[in-house]
Amino acid sequence: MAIQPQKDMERRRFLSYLLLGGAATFLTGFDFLSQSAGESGSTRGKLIQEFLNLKTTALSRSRVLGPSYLQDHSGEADPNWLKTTIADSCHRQEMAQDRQDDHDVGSQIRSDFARGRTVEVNGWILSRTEARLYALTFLS
Amino acid sequence: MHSDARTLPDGTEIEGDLCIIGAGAAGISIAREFANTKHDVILLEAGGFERDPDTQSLYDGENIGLPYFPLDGTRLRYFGGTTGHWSGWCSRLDPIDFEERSWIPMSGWPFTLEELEPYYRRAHPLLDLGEYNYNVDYWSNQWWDGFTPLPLEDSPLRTKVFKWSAPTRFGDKYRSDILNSSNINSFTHSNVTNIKTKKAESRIEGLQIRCLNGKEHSAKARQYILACGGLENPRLLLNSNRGKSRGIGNENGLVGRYFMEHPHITTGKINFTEWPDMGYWRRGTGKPFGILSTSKTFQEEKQISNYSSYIYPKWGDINSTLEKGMKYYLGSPPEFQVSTRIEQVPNDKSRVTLSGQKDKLGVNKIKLNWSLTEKENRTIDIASEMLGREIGRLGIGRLKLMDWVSGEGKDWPDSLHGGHHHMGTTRMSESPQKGVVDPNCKIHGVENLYVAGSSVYPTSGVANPTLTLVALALRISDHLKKQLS
Repeated sequence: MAIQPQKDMERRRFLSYLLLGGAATFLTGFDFLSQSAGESGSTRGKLIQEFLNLKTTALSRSRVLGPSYLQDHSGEADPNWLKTTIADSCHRQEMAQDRQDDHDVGSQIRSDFARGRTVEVNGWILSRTEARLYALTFLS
Repeated sequence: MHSDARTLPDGTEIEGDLCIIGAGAAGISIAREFANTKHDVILLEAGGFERDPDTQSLYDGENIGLPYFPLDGTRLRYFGGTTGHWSGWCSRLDPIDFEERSWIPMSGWPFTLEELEPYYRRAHPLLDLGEYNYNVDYWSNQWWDGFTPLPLEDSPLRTKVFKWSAPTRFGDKYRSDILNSSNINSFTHSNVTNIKTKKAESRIEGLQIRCLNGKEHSAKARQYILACGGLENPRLLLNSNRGKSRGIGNENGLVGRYFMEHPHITTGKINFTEWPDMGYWRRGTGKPFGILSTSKTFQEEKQISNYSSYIYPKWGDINSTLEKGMKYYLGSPPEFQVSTRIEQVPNDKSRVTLSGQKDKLGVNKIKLNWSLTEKENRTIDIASEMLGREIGRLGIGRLKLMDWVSGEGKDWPDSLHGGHHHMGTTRMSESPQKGVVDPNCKIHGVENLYVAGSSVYPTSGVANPTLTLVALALRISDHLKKQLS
């Protein structure tokens, strides 16, 4: 069961951008999410801009992988639940690493792979967080 | 000296100290070791110096197992043998390949990699392999000849170094060495059709030789070496059943059993975040390249056989190539295929037997039943899933598995194929109950008949067989030099 994170609205909105951007990572070769998202306001703006540039590709792929994931995990077909769960897992990752910076979806995804939290979606071996990002992108 | 056996007087009797049957990589390597020594060496080759369809058709046989190459096309019957069409991939077997592994039945060589190491080193120049070094760190630091391994820190994956042979065509390269040697009598078009023994006797009496023009000769020597390849070695032993009804070396019914190949199959594709450079494209004599393999610890922990994959861009047609090339220069690598090759687990159902059909010389053809078990399937499942996880963990891309890999209760897909690697049919063991030949590659229970080539491999690893079979041939030569002295 996910623990409800206590975040302000602005932060959540920004996180949702990051979540969506994460879905574009492996398709494009851009690894911008592996950087700390909270280094500065300009970095944050840059990330959002990069995500917007890549949004088409990410959305395109999410149309395939998102529903495939949800077909096998029908209980997760709720955008709010997905957002909360992903945010919560990122928060836990942040706490575990004793980090003071903002959320880093890239490191959460790598942590998933390292811990074997992977799922197979249409043959792709994805981290669970990443697969949920596709599902969330599809539902959004 | 060389003679075409078709031109000799019918009934010629050939005599020498050592008789080598087969002038392929193993046979030629051994013959060279004895060149210009005091020993009279006979080298018998079934074919000529050029390929010819009539001789090649003597390799015809029947596939009754998994789909396999035509048996008259998967090997070459002429001077130089199958090196006439090999691709030149070379690597050593891994240390674990020599070990007895509780989860791999009939595994374990009677010696370790260290025993074979000096012979690998000696085999290197024979195969034009350049510097003898299989250390990935070494090659990753060579700016000109090296390659860039994937960053596999703390990973169950590892990079296994391979090297490109020219590929050396033994028939072309070593023909003059053999023909100009003062003590080697080589005979082409000499098909050995029977190895003669007397019932209950443990010595070879001689060889029956037939030519396609109808002539018949014989050969006699103190020691004999059978070096005809992984399919023909068991065929000749099984066909030599006039003195021993089950064939020579077959008291325990092992000749022809445990046929192994390297199952090859595409298991997936990878989208890399950056273009990987494992050196595969820089082909050239002696150049290294890397393939992905699994660590010893991972194999032990998961109880799987050895595994490897090489990755190459899926180019497709020329337009696609240009397109992909453009994408690369614009910053995004193309899709890479994952071509997987695994170790086949020794399996007595996978075997060579004699067919009721005979070839033009009256010798029974073979039936090949190539078969795999669930263990090979399991190796692919576990290693492929790990590969996908590691590619993600290392942040270098994502793996998509082929449908058949992730399917349940799957059969092998049509794309499964071998590598023209014929191994295991006269396997080596200290025990006659587990092997046809002993650790010196001498047939158990027979005083003067040795087997050279990949048919003696108890297990196959994932390395192409040629380097190891040449190393073993050199080892047999050293042993025989002592015996003949």
